[in-house]
This record gives sequence, C-alpha cells and structure tokens, in this order.
Amino acid sequence: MNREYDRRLIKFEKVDKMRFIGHLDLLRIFQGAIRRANLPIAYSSGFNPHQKMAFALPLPLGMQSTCEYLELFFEKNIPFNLFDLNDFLPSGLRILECYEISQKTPNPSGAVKAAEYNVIFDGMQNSAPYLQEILDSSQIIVLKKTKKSTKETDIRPDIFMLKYIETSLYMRISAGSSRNLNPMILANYILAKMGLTIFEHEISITRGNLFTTATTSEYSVDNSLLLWQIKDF
Amino acid sequence: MISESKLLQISKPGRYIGNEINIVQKNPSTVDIRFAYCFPDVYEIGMSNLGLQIMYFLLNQREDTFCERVFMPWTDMLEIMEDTPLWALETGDSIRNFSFLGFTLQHELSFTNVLAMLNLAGLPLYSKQRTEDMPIVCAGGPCACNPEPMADFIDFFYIGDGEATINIILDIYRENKANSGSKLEFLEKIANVKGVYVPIFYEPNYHSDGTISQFVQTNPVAPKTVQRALVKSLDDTFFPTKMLVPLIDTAHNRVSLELFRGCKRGCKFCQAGCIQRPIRNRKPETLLSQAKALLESTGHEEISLVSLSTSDYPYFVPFLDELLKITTERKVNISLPSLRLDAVSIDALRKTQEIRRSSLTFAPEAGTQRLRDVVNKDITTADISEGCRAAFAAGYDRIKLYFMSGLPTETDEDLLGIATLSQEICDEYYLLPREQRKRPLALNVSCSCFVPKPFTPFQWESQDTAETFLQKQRLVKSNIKNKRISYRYHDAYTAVVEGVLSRGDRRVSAAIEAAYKKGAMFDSWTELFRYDLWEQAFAETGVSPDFYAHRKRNADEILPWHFIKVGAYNE
Ligand code: SF4
Repeated sequence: MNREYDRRLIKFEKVDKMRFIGHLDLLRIFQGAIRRANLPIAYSSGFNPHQKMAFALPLPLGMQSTCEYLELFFEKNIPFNLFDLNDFLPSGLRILECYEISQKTPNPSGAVKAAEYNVIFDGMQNSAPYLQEILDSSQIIVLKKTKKSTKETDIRPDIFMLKYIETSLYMRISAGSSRNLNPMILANYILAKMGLTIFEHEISITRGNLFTTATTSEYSVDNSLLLWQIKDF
Repeated sequence: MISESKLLQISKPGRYIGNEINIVQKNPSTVDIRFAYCFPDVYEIGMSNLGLQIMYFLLNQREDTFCERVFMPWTDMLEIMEDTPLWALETGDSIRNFSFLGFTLQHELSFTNVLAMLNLAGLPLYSKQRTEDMPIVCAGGPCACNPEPMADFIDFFYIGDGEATINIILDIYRENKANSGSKLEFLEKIANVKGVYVPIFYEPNYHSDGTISQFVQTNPVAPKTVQRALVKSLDDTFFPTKMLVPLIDTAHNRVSLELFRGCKRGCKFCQAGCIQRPIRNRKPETLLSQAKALLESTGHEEISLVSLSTSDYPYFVPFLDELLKITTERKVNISLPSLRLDAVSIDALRKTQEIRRSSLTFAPEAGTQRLRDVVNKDITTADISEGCRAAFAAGYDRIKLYFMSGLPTETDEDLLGIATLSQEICDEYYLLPREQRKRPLALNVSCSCFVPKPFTPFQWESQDTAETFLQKQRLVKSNIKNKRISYRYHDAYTAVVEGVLSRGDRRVSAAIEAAYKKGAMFDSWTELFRYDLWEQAFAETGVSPDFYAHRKRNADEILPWHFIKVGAYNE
C-alpha cells in the first residue's frame, strides 16, 4: 500500500565552500539539518529507516549551483516552516524557494531533461565563432570514458543552446537519467577547438535552471519549462 | 589558505574548508589568545576524536581566546601546497602568528607529523630556535606521559586530563602578555601548574652504558616531579553541549558519551588503564542530559558509549534503559565499543539491536589461560566460549578477536593457543542448529605486536625484535587452517619504531628529526610507513632499537619518564 505524504520541493543554492562537498555528503548534511530543525520528515520502513528525500539531479563535486532541487516527504497534517531549515544549514547552502507538490506529480529526478550551465575560463571571450561552428555541425564526436572503456559518442543531440554572454559561456545541455552530458566534456571540446590548454580545475562551472523538456527556445520564468513548475503538469 | 583551484586538484577538498556545523567564529582582533589546536593526522581521524571536541569548546568558551583547528594535510595536498603556510580551518589564517600551537599526541607514530606541521607552519622544529614572535608550542594527549622523545621540539607538555588546568595556564599567559613578559617568564610561571612539564628546565645526564645517571633541574622554579593534571569529578567539569559535525564522512560520525574515565581491570600491558586513575564515573543524570543536548545540536543518528571497558560502568543496565528511551524516540542507534564478553554485555547488545548491524569485537589478548593470568587479563577460556555461545545464540555471525604476540613469558604454546582458541570458537558456532545459522561464520583474528609502555608493570621488559615477531606470526598462521578464520597481524617493523619512541629518552629526538627529514610521515598508515627511512635515521643518529626497544631494564634504572607521577594523589 502506498502511503500518502506531504510532498515538498525545495530549490536551494550550493555555492562558495559548499562546492567542495560531494553528493553523498550533501545528502547527509540535509538529513542532519532536518533532524536538528526537528521537522516531521517521513522515514522509510525497514530495519534501518532513512529519511525520505531525493535530489532532482546530483551536482558533481567542484561545481556551484544556484538552482538545486530536493524533494522531501513529510508526515501529513503537521504544520512546519521549511524555511526554518536555513538556520541549520552550513553557509553556502540556502533554501531559495519551497513548493508543495501533489501526490500525482512525477518525481523531479525522472522529469529532468536538460540543465543550463555558466562556464568561465580565461579566453572565453573569443569563443563565439567556435560555438557557432559546433551548433552548425550535425555531429560532434567526443571520447566518453566509462569505468571499463572509452568510446566515441555523438554529443550534438545533447546540445540545445550554446552562446557567449558577456560574463560567461552559456550552455543548455542534456541532463537527467535518460541522457546526460557532463558540461566539462563539452567545455574541453570547446577548449580544444579554440586551441587552448586549460586544466579542469581552472574552469569554473555553475549550474542554473533545470528543465523538463529538451527545449532550444529562450524561456521566461512563466513558460512552464522550468522544473519547479512540474506541479502544474 | 589554499586557493580554490588548488582544492579542485585533490581527492577530498572537504577536509580543508572548515564551515562545519557548530563551528565557532570570532573576530580574531578582539581576542588576546589565538590557539591552534593541531591534530597530527588527517582530518577524518582528528574530527572523530572526543578530546578535540571537548578542548575546542572548552577553549572557545573563554572570551579572550579563539581556538581554531589544524590537521595534517594529506599527501595529495602536500604535493600542491608549495609555499602556502599551514592555515587554521576557521579563519584560513596562517598559524605562524598564533599565540599557541597545541598538539595532541594520540600515538607515537604521529611524531613525525608533528614536525611536518611545524615545518609547514614556517616554524623551526627545535624550541630553542623559535623566537619571541613565534607561537608557544605545547603538546598533550596520551603520549605526553613520556614526553622525552619530543622534548626538544615542544615548549611545554601538558600531562593529564585536558580540562583540569588549561584555563589556569591561559590566564597566566594573558597576564604575562599584558605585562609584556617574555616566553621564558611565561614558562617559569606555569612550571608549577599541575600537569605542566617544561623540558628546557631539566637536563638528563647519562652513564657510559647509555642509561640515565641524573635528571637535573636547571631552573630554580622547576619542580622535582611533575604531577599529572586530574579532573576529580566528571560531573562538575566542563562538557560541551555541542559537537562539531563534519561536512564530509569521517571515521566516527556520531555523538560520543564518556561514561567514566579509567578502568578497574588492571591489565599489565595497558597504558590507558594504568595512567587514568582513579576511576571517575559520570552520574547517569549528567550523561542523559548530555545525550539529549548533543543529539539535538548535532542531529547525529548514532551515539557511542565510549570508555575503556564500557560494561564496567556501575549503573550500566539502568542507564542503558533510560538512554534507550531517548534514542528510540529519535531513531538513534546506540553503539557499544569495548564491551566485555559477558551476559550483561550480550543482553545490552540485544537491547540496542547492535547485533543486526555489526560484528562483535573482543580481546582475549593471549592464547592460553596461563599467559592471560600473567598479564592479568581477567577473562577465562570458559568465559570466552560461554560468551561466544551467547553471542551466536543472539544472532552474531561476524566476530573479531584481538590478540597480542610478544607478551612477556610467551612460548610457542601460547602462540599455538591463538590458533586453538580460534578454532574452538569456530566449532562452537557450528554447534548451533542449522536453521539458526543464517550465514557462514566470519571470524577475524587480528594479532598485534606487544610494545611495552611507560607506567605499566611491563615498562622494564624487552620487546621482541621484528625477526622474532615475524617468526611468531608465521607460526600462528601456519596453524590456522580453517577457511572461516581470517588471520591478520600488525607490521613488525612499525612496532620497532613504536617501541623506540614509546620508551625513548631525549636523545631519540634526533632520530625523529632525521626520519622526518628523510621523508617519514604518516607512520601509522601502513601504505606510507617506510622502515628503511627509520633504519637510516636510527643508524645516523646512534639511536639503537636494541637499546630502546629490545633491552630489558634493571629495576633500579632511572627511566626517562621517572619524574612524572601519573597515579592518584592527594592534594
Ligand atoms: S580492560 Fe581494557 S582498558 Fe581496562 S586495563 Fe584491560 S586492556 Fe586496559
């Protein structure tokens, strides 16, 4: 039997020092904060009960984000204020928005199709022509490393938007469980095209919005492409 | 502090960023004392140490003091640090200009890391080379009870319970600073505070055979004996209501409750048991309120009852029942390390459901009853098989057994006893009815090398050589034939270094420095331990393992730690 929960979605930022904290540690940090804040989180049953929560999309260690999502399941009919959690989180983690979502809403982690990233490196101001060249190609072949092997992959279908805007290089690319492109792979491809040698630790990547459709169009906050609006689906 | 792009080049940057839950932040310009609490091992180990947690909040409770933490950078960080001076986690400031660096000496194999941290901080290693503008370097912790091997590097040692007299020392420091007193004046003023040992006020002389002939006071204020600082009542002493909660996973991410200090058992090889006297119990009420406060402020899901032999706590059963009420409500697990294998313990494990989570660990220490009697380990073969039977019946199928080889009077029979006893325990499991055995038994037998320690009844004994240890390990190994038993033993060469450092005198400093300069660091990490470097260091400095580790002392020999009194004393 499926129990009903009070389902919430929080949007939070993970910036500054917190970029050095990996995904599993982040999960533990939220669990601890929820326990300290004494929020009525629901626990899974079984011998080792754990708090019911799920991130929309893990953020690789080293990247910052202004738009992370965490889905939380609370016991029903207990009043609480989710923003209280901010008092219990370390600096660099801050809840920006809270939403109630209905029982029928699909899981955010399954809904994510694309993400936007702002990439900064020395020399990016000269990138525009190379970006256009990438967008004009029908195929972009890169070597993707898996645990066992390295194989050639076409990442062109994963690139939805790519442009240089004064302060950073903007990319909107595949993200989520069905197709996912690591922004570092694309950044390295661009660097190679530009003939630049820059170490990965010299590239700063910040994740922005998550999208539920692989769209190539510009968005405005209310055109229902952003993840937080899935409650309206 | 280190740059962000450098942090992206190493494996666990979370070790170096601070920012933990319950971290203390102060404006450094508003305090008189900047204290760097230095833990000479990697972050995860240091942060699991209860002493660090207590001292951090104790020192920060003082308005005039800001205590920050410093850990030994891991090897990947050492490679990229270059000239970045060692920094404190709270502010990221270099510790070069702090008032104090306070090292905790948890074991002898961290000594080279202490030197590494001094060097990384941009400070000369030797006390006498450090000038007035440099921090005062002090050291405490279990290994401070024989301070001599580190005496040349440390300005003063703090011997005993950290909470006892540290505030007196800091008060004196502040007053001395206000009066523009020198470092020497400060050391003279604290020389008579309980627990304080200032090495430059003493000088050892030696006989021609290398043993100590005289240990003279070179400063009129220096007391003849140094008395260990003692907290009389654990109920009245400082205990933090908060603990730092690391952002990354560490060895023990949990609340620690210290039920009591000391141990009533008196095993002759055990330094902790011999030093921490008398036994001081915390009242159950104190513990329960500490448990509540700490669970609330940390959000931890596990609480560990830490003491030398936990089930010896006089109120153990009723206390555990009360604690269970708190933990059940909060969905918190209780973990019980260091239990004796008796009915009370097995019952406690059943209640806390620890059984379903972990393996049972216990330490017969020796393979035969004869040798257990010699070392005063008061557990019998019958207790062991009975305890194991109860543990198996309660559902345990992973057992860890700890033994030592090289104990005084040990013979082949005692070593073979390790194999026999292990096999008997194994057989005991298979006497269970088949349906009660869910999995095959996993019996882990671990054998360490006995290193005689100061202040124990074995402090005069000779330690086995590496060759003897290896031979003994082979003998045990060749007699363990059962697949269910996995046999592991500690490194014999590490034990030699530990032996020299444990019972060393002041001349051993030179060998520590030489080993460090050759690259010895993280000596307790098997994969980083380099005996070849130590062997060269011993040879070059004339510090001989035969003299320091493998030699039997005469009862009338002046031991390097003879001037320290650790036992219970009267005011
Ligand atoms: S029981 Fe444990 S702590 Fe107590 S003296 Fe023996 S070995 Fe030491």
